[in-house]
Amino acid sequence: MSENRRILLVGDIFVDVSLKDREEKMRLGGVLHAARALWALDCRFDLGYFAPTYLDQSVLEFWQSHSIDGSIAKFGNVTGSPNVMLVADMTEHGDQGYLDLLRDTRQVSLFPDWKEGLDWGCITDILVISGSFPVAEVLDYGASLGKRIHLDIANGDEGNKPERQLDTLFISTSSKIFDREDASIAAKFQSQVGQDVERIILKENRGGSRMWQKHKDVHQVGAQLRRVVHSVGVGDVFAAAFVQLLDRQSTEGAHHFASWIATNYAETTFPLDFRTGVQQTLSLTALEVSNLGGAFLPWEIRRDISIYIAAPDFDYVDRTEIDRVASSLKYHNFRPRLPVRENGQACTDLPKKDRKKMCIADRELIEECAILIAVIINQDPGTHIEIGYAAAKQMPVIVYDPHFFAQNLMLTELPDAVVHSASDLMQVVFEMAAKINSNTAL
Amino acid sequence: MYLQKMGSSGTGRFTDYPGSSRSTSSTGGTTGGSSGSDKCGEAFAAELEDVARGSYYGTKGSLPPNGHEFKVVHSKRLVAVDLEGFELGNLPTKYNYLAGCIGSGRAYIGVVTTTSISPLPRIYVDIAPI
Repeated sequence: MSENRRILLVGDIFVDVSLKDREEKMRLGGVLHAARALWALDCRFDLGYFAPTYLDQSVLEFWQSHSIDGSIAKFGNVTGSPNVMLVADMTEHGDQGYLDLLRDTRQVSLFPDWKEGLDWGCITDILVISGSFPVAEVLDYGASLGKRIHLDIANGDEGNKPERQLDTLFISTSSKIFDREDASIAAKFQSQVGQDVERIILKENRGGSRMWQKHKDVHQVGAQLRRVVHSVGVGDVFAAAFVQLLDRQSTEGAHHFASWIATNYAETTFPLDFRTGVQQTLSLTALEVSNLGGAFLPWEIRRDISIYIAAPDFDYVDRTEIDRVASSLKYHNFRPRLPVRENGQACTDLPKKDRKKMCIADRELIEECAILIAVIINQDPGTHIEIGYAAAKQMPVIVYDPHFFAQNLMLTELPDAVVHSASDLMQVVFEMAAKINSNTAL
Repeated sequence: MYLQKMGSSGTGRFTDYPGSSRSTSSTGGTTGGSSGSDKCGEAFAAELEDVARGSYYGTKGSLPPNGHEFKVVHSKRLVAVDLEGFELGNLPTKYNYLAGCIGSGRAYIGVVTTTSISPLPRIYVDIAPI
């Protein structure tokens, strides 16, 4: 551990806008998510940012309204793009559907005097939240001054991958550059540490996170699965909290706290509520946080978790909600199983022997699965029977009831959970799958 | 309810600064630095985990009656402990935030609302701050 760590945050600044539902949500994003984390931790820090000129006044107002003890410097201008990010899904139950307006015409340039305006002598660490700016030049300068360099590569291009010694490399399963099909990521990351990076942290969304360090076993931290209000910038908060808390915790302790503080951020967009949550988190010790546990579900093993979707998945029904569930499960690397699409749709004049065959095939498919999700979009008797069948087998059953149709006593009380939003559904899926994984490991 | 919990409603200007006063936007959402709600002050219902491994079931071989009182104790996990010191079960990890509330001086009690012995022992509870 070291004392008096002072971080320089470097990154783009965006305007995040969610257009979902009736009400728009808008706030400053990009590297300012990480800034909110350091503000909530009551520490001194500095900011070097890239943004279009029209945002400069708002950035200054943000800095001043948070009464941040530190220096702010604009490293470069963004032209050709307003740096506005439209977010289709704030809670990341599936692909968040980020739309980066005018990203193809964006140009970012470092000011010739970008290094001035900051007292580099006070800075001990540089955390770069990668983006469309010249990351390598910033990293090179920081390294030349002997600063500890941490890079969150979630939003970066391939060209911005590190070619120099890093203290910490942060990667996310939500990132475009994460190879979703690679089943050997653990071995790859373990082999990389100690060469050009001290530690690698993989953030795995609702499945927790893992940290690889040289000569140590992989360190696993479970996610704190609470109701998610938004998922935007949560990974950046994780990274900032981790780096800052290395000042007073072991790397393992900082890892635990970073996960909790990221959850504090996901629970609210009210800054004072966030800070209260962070301070309550910090009232605990690292050992207490570790012992409290969480939901741990590594990316690679989720593909082996088959989830049966019981639903009226017929070609004459609006299947939007069914498709949403299947798509969300696939996004998080689970294996949704849709009996009608795999075994066929029964028509009214189907011969008895074929009906029997199809029923047996559907039942055998349930047997292959670990969890059953029932999608209630009408009063389908087949769905209800499958709920009962799975419950009798003591299989975890979740009812996803987006339209609040479920009123029957058995329908609401027999399943393990009844949820009404896709976000809550994914929370429960991760809770149940993590328990299954934990029991299997035992 | 979901919409009202956002601190950044509306697109006319940025509203989620710490010093901003709480107000309602033209579209019904709440804006400002604080939501005004206190998560630590909320009561809730839950199903306890690890009931079969708890000392109550392990010692007595049965489940507590409805109305059985307990307090929430932070002991590695958050545990429901009755007045005789028997552990009924653990709170699910999604309630781990209560550890921070307890660390900040809060305390929690609860009652058993219903139980089920088969196929696995289950205890459902209501929990509230005191």
